[in-house]
Order: sequence, then C-alpha cells, then structure tokens
Amino acid sequence: MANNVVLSWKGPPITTQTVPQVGHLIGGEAPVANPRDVHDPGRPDEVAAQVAVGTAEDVGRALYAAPAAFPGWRGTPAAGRVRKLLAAADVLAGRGEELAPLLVRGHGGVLWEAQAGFALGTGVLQHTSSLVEDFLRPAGSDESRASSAPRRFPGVLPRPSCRGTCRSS
Amino acid sequence: MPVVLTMMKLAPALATGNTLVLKPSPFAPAALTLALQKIAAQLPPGVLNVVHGEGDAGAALCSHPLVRMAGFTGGTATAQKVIEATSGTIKNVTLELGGNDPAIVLDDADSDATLERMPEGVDTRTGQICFAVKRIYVPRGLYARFADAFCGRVGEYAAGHGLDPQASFGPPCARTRS
Repeated sequence: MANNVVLSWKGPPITTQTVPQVGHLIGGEAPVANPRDVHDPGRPDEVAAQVAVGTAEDVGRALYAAPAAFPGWRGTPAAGRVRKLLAAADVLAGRGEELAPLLVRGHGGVLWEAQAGFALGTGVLQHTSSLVEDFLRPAGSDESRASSAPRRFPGVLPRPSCRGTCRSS
Repeated sequence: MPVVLTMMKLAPALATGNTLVLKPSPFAPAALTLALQKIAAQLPPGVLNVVHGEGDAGAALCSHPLVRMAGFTGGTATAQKVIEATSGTIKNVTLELGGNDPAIVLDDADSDATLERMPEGVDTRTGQICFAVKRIYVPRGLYARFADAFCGRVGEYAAGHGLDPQASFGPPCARTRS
C-alpha cells in the first residue's frame, strides 16, 4: 500500500486577510450581532469567518417577515416567480468562483469540490424553476398531455399538495 | 454539499410560492449565507430569510405554529429533536439523514472501470456526502486484487488544505467527523 502524502500548505494566513462578517437575513436586512468565530478546519488556529448567532428574538423576527411576504409572493404568477428564481440562479452561478474558497475555509474539502457544489446548486435551482409552471398547472387542463401522462392526484384540486414552509394561514 | 442540499429545499419551496426561513448548519454557515444573501436580493424582502444558531434556534423554528413544514438534513439525534419539536403543531416534516450505502461489485464487473470510479464514490468531499459509499461488497475471488488496487488508489491521495492546489483530499468540516 502506498503512503499518503500530507501536504503543508504555505499559503498566506487567513488572519492577514479580511475576515467576512456574516449576518442573518431577515426581511431583506442582514444584521450581524453576537458573532462567533468559524475556524478553518484545514488551519484550526485561523478564523475563516465570523457568523452571527441567532437569539429567540431573531427567530421571531424571521417568523414575522416570512408570513408577511407570503401573500405577495404567492400572488405573483408562477412565470414571474420563475423569472426571479432564474435570475437568482444566474447570480449564484456568478458568485461560485468568489465564494468557493470561503466554503473550503469554512467547511473543508478541496476547491474543485466547493466549486462543483455551487455549479450543482445552480443547476438544481434552474431545473426546479423550469418545472414549476407545468407542475402547478391543474391536472386535466391539457387533455392531450393528460392522456399520455399520469394524472396528478387529486386532480380536482387547483394546486398540488405541496405545502409551504411558512404560510400565513 | 451544503449549497446543493440547500437549493434542493429552497428551489421547490420558493418556486411553488412559499416563503421560508433557513437555518444553515453551524458547520457550513458563511459562504452559503453570503450566497443566499445574493439570491435574496433578486426576490422581494422576506421571501427568503436566514437565521443562524444552534439547537435552540432550530427548536424555536420547528415549534412555531406559523411554520407549516420543516425540512431537515443532518444526523439522527437532531432529527429526533426535530420530530419532537414539531409534534405539538403537527407539521409536514421531511428528514434527510445519514445513509449506510453499499457498493456491490459483481463477478463480471469491469474491474478497471470500477476501480477508477469507486474512490470518488467513497471520498469526494472527504466522504462528507450522505450518499457516499460506506461499504463495498466484492466477490471473494476478486477481493484480494480489488482491495490492493483500491488501497493503492487511496494511498495516492495528497491530504492537505483545500486551497492548496496540490491537495486532492481536504480536511473534514468538523473534528467529530472522519
């Protein structure tokens, strides 16, 4: 059996670079409070980022913001939601190269794996968004399609039984 | 795979018109949250929310009556707490927990092709993938050759910091994992 090589990377210490401050995201705001250090698992003595730690009050504010946004978002036609999510997927794809090194510093693994994670995540967002208009179309509204594909059950309901993560009623 | 797993929850929820609150894993919060902030900027405020924290934050989310569905990816012990915390308000719950996934090599397998891919199935992301291969079953007649060749491949790994371009095997995200 071969012996593994254990590398000792001589790259610059992260402590000489700007340590990202990462807050919550509540109602469009990103407050940083009560931060804790996230250490680089490859260099445990170095801080990769500082991330806010939520309180019950933070959770409560998020659980106020999500239902408040629900009526407008649910009322947006599916095509409009898809456009915004595809735009978001473009943003995610564009940020992968920039954020992949921080993902490595905060989560381990190697760089190509982190880059692949952003690429695959972008693909999931794009693919799911591309399916949703057809998924939300009431079963039986297109008889030619319905005749060649399994009907969703229960077909009499206007929406599939995909419950929301958070909704107002 | 924190970005992929998050998108697998986020995308269907938002696309079908729901709003959500995410609590990232404390093992991978920073880069993911910065990405989520960029995504949220494309959406109306409040559609996508993120709260960091430990178990108490998760329990507060799971037990809140306005939350109609809880999706969790992680370990069995925490999943039991999710079930407990959601029980009082009868929510939909989905749990994606650790696997114990086997790979089965058959007598007529193309050994070279199998050996080429098997280490990736075991050790990509330092083995920190829920569906990574954890056990390999090999016919007795192939065992010695397969084991020697597989261990030889693993022995070629260069372990190091994930940003070292020479490294092919990075560190696990937490000391409790290996």
